[in-house]
Amino acid sequence: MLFLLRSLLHVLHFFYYLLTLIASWKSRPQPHELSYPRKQLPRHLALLLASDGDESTSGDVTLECFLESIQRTVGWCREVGIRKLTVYDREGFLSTNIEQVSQRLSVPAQLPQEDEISEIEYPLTPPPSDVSDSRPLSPVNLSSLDLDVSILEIPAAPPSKQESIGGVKHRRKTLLSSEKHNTDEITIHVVSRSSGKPVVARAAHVMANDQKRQQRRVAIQDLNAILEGDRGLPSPDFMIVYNTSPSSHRRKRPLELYGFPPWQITLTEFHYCNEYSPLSWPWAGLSSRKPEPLNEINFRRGLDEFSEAQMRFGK
Amino acid sequence: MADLLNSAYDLVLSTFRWGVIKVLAIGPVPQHIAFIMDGNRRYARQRSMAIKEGHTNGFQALEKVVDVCLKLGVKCVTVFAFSIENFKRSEEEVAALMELAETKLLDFTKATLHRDGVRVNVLGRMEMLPESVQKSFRISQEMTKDNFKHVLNFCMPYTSQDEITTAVQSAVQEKVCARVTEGDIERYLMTTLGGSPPLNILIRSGGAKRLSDFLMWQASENVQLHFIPTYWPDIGFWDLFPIIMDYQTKVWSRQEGKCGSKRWASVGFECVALIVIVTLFASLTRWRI
Repeated sequence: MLFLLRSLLHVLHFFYYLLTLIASWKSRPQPHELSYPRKQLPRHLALLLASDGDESTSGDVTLECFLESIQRTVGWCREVGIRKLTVYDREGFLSTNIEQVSQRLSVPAQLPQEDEISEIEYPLTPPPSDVSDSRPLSPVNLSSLDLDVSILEIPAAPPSKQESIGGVKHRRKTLLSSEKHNTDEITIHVVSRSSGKPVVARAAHVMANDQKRQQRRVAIQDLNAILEGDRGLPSPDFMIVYNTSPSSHRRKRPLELYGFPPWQITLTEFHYCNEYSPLSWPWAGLSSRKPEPLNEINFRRGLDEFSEAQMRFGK
Repeated sequence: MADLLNSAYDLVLSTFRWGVIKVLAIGPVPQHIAFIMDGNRRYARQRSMAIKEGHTNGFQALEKVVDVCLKLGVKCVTVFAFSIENFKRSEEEVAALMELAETKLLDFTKATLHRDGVRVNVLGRMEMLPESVQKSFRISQEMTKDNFKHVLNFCMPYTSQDEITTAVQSAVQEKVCARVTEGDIERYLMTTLGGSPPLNILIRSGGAKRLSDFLMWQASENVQLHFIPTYWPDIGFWDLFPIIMDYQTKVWSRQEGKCGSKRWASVGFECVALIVIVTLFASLTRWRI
């Protein structure tokens, strides 16, 4: 009987797989252009990059894919006017290669300038006795707690050379809104799993070891001030989750958050890039085995979804 | 005649559903599923019903979903019944929800949950609720406290940030002048204290794609999130079917790395054997006729 039920289960999965294949062929409507006047835009966008199911690809290739995705996203954010961006990867490829991230973003893709310098704001260097799970702990106060958040300030792009040659006043008056957004500065928070639950544990450890604090009850505002403060990670209102691994484009994969800092996702709207197609199978000869960076269609689709979201805030 | 046909149709459908549940229960089943029960009010407005009626239908849907989960073998179900933020709603609606919670959960406990070995935990700031509701909840919890087969976490009124803060407070009090780890905070989460296994799947009905301050610590890692457009009172087994299938596919694909070709060989063998058995049965039946 068990054998029969198990066989039936596999047959059921086979038919379900066929159904999902048929569903994948259903064409989705094209998203609106970037410049489309959407009802609402996120003020703070988070980009969660995963390489789930991609153990065979080297770290360098994955990092390059992540960097390309971020560079494109910064360009799109500039174009639509999003000035705050968080980029996350679970393993911390981006956090541990922050110089590469800042180098990659120091020259805007649309307005290459040889003499542009990006302002990079590195987190405060923690004292040697900083709290961590793997080393002996010593007393540290909350203000110098290592929150594992790197903050990059990408400056506003200067006006192009063509604009500065004659007719400047006239050109500036007729500047379109999308061109104006191209010059906004963008703040980028670079985080990983270690910026989430481990930081909450470290904050709790500091409180546990603070004699003066022990009598006072921990309040939501206390944790909020630490985790979402100036050196921390503010809550994104929209998150795009994208898996770069080629295998993720072959079959349906549910959304996961890969250890994103849990405190900050209270009201975050999620958009999951989950297009998949059997034509992505290697034997179909129609795709490469390399990771693929985020594309503009996915980004625009996410913005369309966010613009339709209804926020009720509990009411 | 029409009634008879409708009844026959319902019987066939429910038998088929029972059969599919039996088959699914053979494979890997999530141990802990959480639900954000969203869409009661829009459901009511769509049908020109009173909002209270929408919430009543919502509770019936909860009973149906819990029944399906128990039949599948899911050990723990957590539901987001009322957020601390929901006190901002109109007095009339809040009063209606309190009245529903006071009667419906206890009736459900007496009729079904206790009989099926479900332990009921009410998670959240119970002290914010009217005394009559608190009393009713205490009775449900007391009646089922020794049950061990399944767990139902009824979150009311609850927010995840409040849960995390409470867990941090407890960890701080326990570990005075000592190291506090992630595990310490995890141990003091309300779901863990209620004997819940780690969360596997979180489902939100109603179409919104956000967590709204629900189980954020638990859901941020190794949890599949599903946002379905169905309004909560309309939810049924077939909304859960693709979610369970995706979960089983994920578990099997993780096992593939260890014994991939062996598993596919056994699947192939079983499918061939099944086809042979069905063909033989069909031939024998035709021969006897």
